[in-house]
Amino acid sequence: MSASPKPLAFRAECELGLQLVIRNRPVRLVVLLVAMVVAMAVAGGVRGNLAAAGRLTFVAGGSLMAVAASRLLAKGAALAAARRAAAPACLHAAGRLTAITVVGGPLVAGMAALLAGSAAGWAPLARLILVGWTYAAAVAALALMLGPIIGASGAASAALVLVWLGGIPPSGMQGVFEAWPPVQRPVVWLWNLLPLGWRAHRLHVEGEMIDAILLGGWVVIGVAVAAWAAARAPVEPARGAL
Amino acid sequence: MPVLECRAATRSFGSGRRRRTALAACTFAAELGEIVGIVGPNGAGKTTLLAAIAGDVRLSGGEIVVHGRRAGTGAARRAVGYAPDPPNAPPELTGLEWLAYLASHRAPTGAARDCLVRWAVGLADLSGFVGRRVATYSRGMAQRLALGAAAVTGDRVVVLDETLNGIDPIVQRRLRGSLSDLAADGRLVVVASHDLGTLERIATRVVVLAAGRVRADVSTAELLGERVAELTLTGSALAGVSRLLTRFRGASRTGHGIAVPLRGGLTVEHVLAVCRQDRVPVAASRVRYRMLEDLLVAAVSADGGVA
Repeated sequence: MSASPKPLAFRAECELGLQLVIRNRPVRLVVLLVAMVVAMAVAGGVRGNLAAAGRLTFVAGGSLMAVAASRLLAKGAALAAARRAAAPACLHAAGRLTAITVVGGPLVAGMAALLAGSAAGWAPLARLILVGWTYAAAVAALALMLGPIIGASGAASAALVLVWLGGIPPSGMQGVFEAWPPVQRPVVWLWNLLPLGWRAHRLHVEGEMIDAILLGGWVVIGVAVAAWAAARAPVEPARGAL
Repeated sequence: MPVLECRAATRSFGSGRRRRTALAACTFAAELGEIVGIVGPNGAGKTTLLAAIAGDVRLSGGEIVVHGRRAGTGAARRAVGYAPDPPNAPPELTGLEWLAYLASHRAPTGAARDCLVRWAVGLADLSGFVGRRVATYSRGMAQRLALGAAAVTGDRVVVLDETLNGIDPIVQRRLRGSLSDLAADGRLVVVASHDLGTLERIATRVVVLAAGRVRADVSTAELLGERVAELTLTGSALAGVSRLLTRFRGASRTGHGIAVPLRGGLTVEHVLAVCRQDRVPVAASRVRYRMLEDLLVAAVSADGGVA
C-alpha cells in the first residue's frame, strides 16, 4: 500500500482544504464582513452600475479568498499534514486550491450577481462572474503560495494589502512614487506582474486576452511555488533548537 | 539488512558563536521487527534525530537511510510514520477525519482506506473520542491520535517522540501491546521517551544519546541480564561516596548511597570488602537487575558529568 493512489488522495486534499477553511473562525468572520459590505452596497444603490459592481466584487471576493486560502498550506498543522501524508507536494497545493476555488467561486459569483443585478443583462453578468471567479482563483493561489513561506497571518495580510491596493492601475502607482524613482520602477513592474484588481477590472471592461492569460497563469504559478515552498519549508522540532 | 541506518548523522543549528550541535556523528542501525528506545537527557538530540529520520529536518552532515532511501526523499517519507511532540493534527478536524485523510494517501480504494482507519482506531484505542474535534482533545488523547496516525502512514518504520507520555496507565498498558504488535507485524518502531520503565518493558534495544552522540547501544535482554549491587550508606558514611565511586568502574550515586554494576566477576561480597577496607560502613545492601536508568546515568556521566 505504499504507492500513492492519486484520485483518492486528491479528493482527500480537497476535503481537507474545505475543512480547514469552513471550520476556521477568521474565515467565517471575513465572510460575515464581506456579506455586510455587499448588503450595504446593494442598499446604497450600486445595482445596475456594472463597473462599480465589478470593482466591489473584486475587492470583496479577493478579500475573502486572501484570508481563506492563506491557511491552506500555512506553517503549522496545515503544512505538517502535507508532510505526514508524504504525497507529491503539487498534489497538496492543487487539491487544496481546488477546494477553495470550488467553494469560494460560487460565493464570488453570487456576490457579482447581487451587485450587478439582472438589469445589467445576462451576457455582461456572466462575464463578470467568470472574471470574478478567475480573479478569486488567482488571489487564492497567491495567498496559498505565501502560506508556507511567511505563515497564515503574513500571507493573509500581504494578499489583503494587494487586493485592497490592487484596484490602482500601474499608471496610478507610477504617479504615487514619482518622487522616489528607485522604488517607482520595481513597484510598477510588480503592479504589472501580480494578479491585481485593476487587471481583473480591465479584463471585465475591455476583455484583454493578456489579462486572462496572466490571471490564469497565476493559478499555475501559485500551485507550483506553493508546492516548492511546502516541500522546502523547514519543519524544525517544535520545542526549540535541539 | 537494516531498514534504518544513521551514518554519522550531524545537525547543527545557528551559526558563529551561537552555533549549537544537536546531532554529532550519530551512528546506529535498526532492523524490521525491533522496538528501539531512544533515551537521553534534555537537549541530547532525541527530537532532532527522530525528525531527521522522518525527513522533517535536513542534516548538516552524514546521512540517514530509511528502507534503502535517503531520509527526506518521497520514498523514504512514505515508509516512515512520525508522531511528533507536540502532536500536530489540524485542530479543525475530528480524529476520524485526520486518520481518513492520511489513509487516503496510502490505501488504493475507499474500502481499504476505511479498513486502515478502523485498524488504527483499534490500535491506538481511539474509539471513545475519535469523532470529536482535535481541538477538544486532552494531551493524552492527542498523543494516542498521533500514534494511530503514525501507524497509518508508517509502512516500515513508526517513529514516536514522547508519544507514550501523559497517557493513563491502563491505556498505556494496551498501547504497549499495540507497539509490540506493530513490531511483530514486521515494522521497526523507534520510541524516544523519558519514561524508562515503559521502555524497559517494550524495547528490544536501547540507544542512549548524550550531546548528540550515541553513548550506548545495548539490547534490553542484555541490559536486564546484568546485576547491580546497591549499597545504602547513612550519616558520616555518605562522605565516602565519592571515594567509592572511583573504586568501581561504572558506579553511580543513588539517593542514599551508590550502585555498582556487577561485571567481570565482581560480586557483592567483593564490593562490601572494599567498603570495609576503605572504612565506609554500609547500612544495607541488595542485588537487583540493572535498570535502564543505570545505563543512562553511566553513559551520560562518562560524557563528562552531564548527570
